Amino acid sequence: MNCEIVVYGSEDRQGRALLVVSALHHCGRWLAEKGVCVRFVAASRCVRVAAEILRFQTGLKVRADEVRPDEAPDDVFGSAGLYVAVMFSRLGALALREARARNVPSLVAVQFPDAKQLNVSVLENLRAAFDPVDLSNRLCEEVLRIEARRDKGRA
Amino acid sequence: MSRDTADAPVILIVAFPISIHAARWVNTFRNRGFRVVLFPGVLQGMCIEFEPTRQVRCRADLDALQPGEIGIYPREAVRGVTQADVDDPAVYPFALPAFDLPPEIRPDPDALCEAVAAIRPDLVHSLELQHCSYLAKEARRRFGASFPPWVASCWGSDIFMYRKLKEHRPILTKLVREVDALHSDCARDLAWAEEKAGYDAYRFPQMPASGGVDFSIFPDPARLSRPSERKMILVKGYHGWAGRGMHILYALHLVAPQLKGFRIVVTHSGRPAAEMVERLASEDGLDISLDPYLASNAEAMERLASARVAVGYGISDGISTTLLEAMALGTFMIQANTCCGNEWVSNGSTGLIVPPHDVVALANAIVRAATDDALVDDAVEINRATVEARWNAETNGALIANAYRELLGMRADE
Repeated sequence: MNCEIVVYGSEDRQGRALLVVSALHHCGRWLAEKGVCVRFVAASRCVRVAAEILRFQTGLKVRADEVRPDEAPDDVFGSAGLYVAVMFSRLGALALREARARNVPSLVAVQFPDAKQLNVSVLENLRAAFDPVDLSNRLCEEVLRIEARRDKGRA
Repeated sequence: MSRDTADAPVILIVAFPISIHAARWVNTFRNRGFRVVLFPGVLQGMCIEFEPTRQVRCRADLDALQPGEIGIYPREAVRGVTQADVDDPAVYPFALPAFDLPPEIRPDPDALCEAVAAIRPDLVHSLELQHCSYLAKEARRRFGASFPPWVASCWGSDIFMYRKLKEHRPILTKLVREVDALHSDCARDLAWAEEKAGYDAYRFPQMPASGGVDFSIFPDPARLSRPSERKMILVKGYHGWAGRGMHILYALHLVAPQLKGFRIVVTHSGRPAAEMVERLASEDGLDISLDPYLASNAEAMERLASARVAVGYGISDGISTTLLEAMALGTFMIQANTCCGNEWVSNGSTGLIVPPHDVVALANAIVRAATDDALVDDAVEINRATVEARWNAETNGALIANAYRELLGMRADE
């Protein structure tokens, strides 16, 4: 399966990319076997290092760059199969609208979400915002969903 | 006549001047028959624990060193690397910055060559790999065959983390094949050097980066409260490069109802952690706060001795000094299995060791340590005995001195 997962790669007051890295340590080998690759965008320096270690330990194809989804949505979402982010309180510069406009599904978990951010998806992913194993499970479910959709499309 | 004067061998230590670990290493063999000179591995301020000191710029200056004094190669005699060195790998192939240090505070390898030529040490020992030993490696290449025997110390993540980074892996492999002796704070990293990188030179005694400490700095265990009587949980908040302090806060969120009645103190944290701590207090009802960095080691010890449990978490570390200090002070420790804690505690009895990416496992460990009185109390005596035996300045100082003597072809003395 040819699929690129794009991860919002900032580790700062809002971004929690290192939690996504931890989740990928749980499912990285499975994703690699599926032929999935991962791209961290807007990646902080510590995330770029963590991404390299992730690649070393799991064999997952990982790249990381500083391209920002709100500034270069075509670059970021052009080849994306799934968009993943963990955030603190608010959605910040995720550019979710741009992802939707390009038919890229998203998996977004928010820690202590502000009232304005609440929706069904955010509520479903409250635990995943703190638990890398739970986030990993949800990520795998999304990949299987994408795979099923593609199989159905081919049939 | 003092054994530290006259014709005593000269050890040139290349180290971070600000590092208390480097100062403690030097202190373990300060009065054991060597003259010691510190060359700055990074141009920075100096840890007060190196005192007493005296400036040493050339061989003749060594004559003025008083017993117990450490020679300091003057900072003004050391120029930094230029940006051109960094940009051109042919000039300085090991100029890779491990951290975002500006070139001007990283010594030019030629400056180390000049120091070696002027002081003519019998042995060079670089403490830490990515700055001090990369520097020594390049200086040795430029200096040529008459460079003195060279010992390199692997600290913390120097091998365990950097061997996973493609730019550093080949440098580390070459480095461990070139050194005359490799010291490491972890058996884990010595095993990698021997089994994966082809290291087969003198095996320096394995011990913590700081060598050892004088246990009189720690209170008698009998005077300390039992950990089961303590109500504080201490969290190391380092987050980013190798630390995963935020993951500890995530774990606290998952088990917040089970931690009521405990006071949680978070140290070494940044703005994101501060905002998370606010939410853990206001939304989860935890009694949690940030604590400032304590410059005074005595105050830091007192804080650690007040904690029932201390939690450190990250993707890479060596033998953490906090772990060793906690073991000396009766504080039960939880750490990730990416440090060398398992070489010091027995998982499940004298400490808890958990995977670095499993926040639920960490949360469960915190609850267990917070609620199992027998677990934390029974660990006290064993942990204290372990560190007194293996992190002891007296015994490790003799091991260091004898290792240096063996490397210099001298008779072991003690």
